[in-house]
Amino acid sequence: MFNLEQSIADWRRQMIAAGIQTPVPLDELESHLREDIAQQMKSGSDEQKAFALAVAKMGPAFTLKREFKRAGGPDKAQLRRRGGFAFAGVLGSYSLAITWLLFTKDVAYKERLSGLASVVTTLLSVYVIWKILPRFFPVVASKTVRSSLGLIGGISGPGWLLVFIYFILPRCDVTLEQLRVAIYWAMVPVLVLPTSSFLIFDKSEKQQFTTTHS
Amino acid sequence: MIRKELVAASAEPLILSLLAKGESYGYAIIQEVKARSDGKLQWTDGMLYPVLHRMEHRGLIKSRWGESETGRKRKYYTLKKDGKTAMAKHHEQWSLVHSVLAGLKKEQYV
Repeated sequence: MFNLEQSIADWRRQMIAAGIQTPVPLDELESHLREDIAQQMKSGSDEQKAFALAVAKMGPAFTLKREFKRAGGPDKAQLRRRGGFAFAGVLGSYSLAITWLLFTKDVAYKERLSGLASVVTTLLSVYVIWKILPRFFPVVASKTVRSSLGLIGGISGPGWLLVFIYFILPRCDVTLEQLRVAIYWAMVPVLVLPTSSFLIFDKSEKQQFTTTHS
Repeated sequence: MIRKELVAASAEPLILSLLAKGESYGYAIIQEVKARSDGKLQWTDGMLYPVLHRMEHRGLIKSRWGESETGRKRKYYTLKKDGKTAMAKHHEQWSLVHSVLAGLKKEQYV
C-alpha cells in the first residue's frame, strides 16, 4: 500500500545522502514536491503516480547537488561590492579616529588644521578616484599587466610608508606634534595609491568580462 | 521544444520579469512560464531553485518563508533594487538580439 508521507521521507533521505543540505534548500524542494503532488491530484491523478511524476520532474539528486554547489558562493560582483564596503569602512574609521585624536589630544591650532586637511584630502582624493577618474583610466587587455597592476596596488601603499619612515622622516627635524601630522599626510598616498591601481585593474577586469560574455 | 542552452540563458530574465509583477514562489514561477510559452519553455523543476538561490546570493532578489492558502510552508521571492537594474539590462540585451534577428529575417523575404 502506497504511503505518501513515507515516500516523501524516503525521498528526503535520498536527497540528504546525495549531499543536498537541510533545511536549506531541501525544505524548499519538499515544499515544491508537495505542491506539485497536490496539483496533480486535483487534476485527477492518484497519489502514487503524482508522487512518481513530481520526483521525476524535480530531477536527479546529484544534478541538483552540483547546481546548488555552483549557486553557493558569492560571485565577483558581490565580492567587489563587499570589498567596496570594507574599504569604505576602513576609510571611515580611519578618518573618524584621526579627527577624534586631533580634537581630544592637546594639539596646537596649526597642527590640528593641517591634520584635518590631511583627512579631507584623503577623503576627497578617494572620492575623485573612485567616482570621477575611472572613465579616464585605460583598459588593460593583458592579464599579466592586470595582475601586475593588482600587485603594485597591493604593495604601493605599504611601500610608500616604508620610504617615508626610513628615508624621509630621518631627514626631517620636527616636533612630536608635527611628526604626528606628517604621518597623517603620509597616509594619504597609502590609501590613494592602492585605490587608483585597484580601480584600473577592476575596470579592465569588468571590461574583459563584458567582452567575453556579451 | 526550445534548446536547453536558450532555456538556461532565459531563466534569469524571465524570473526577474515575473517577480517584477509581484512576490511569487518556485512552483508558481514554473507554471507561469509554462503557461505563457504554451508549454514550449519547460524547466526541470529542481533546476529553478539553484538559479533562485544564485540570484539571491547576488542580491537581485530576496526571500521569506510564508504559508500557502492551505497552510503549507512556502518560500516567497521578491525583486530587489539591483534585480530591477539587472532586469532592465536583460530587456535591453534581449531586445537587441530580437531586433537583429527580426531585421535579418525580414531581409530574407524582401
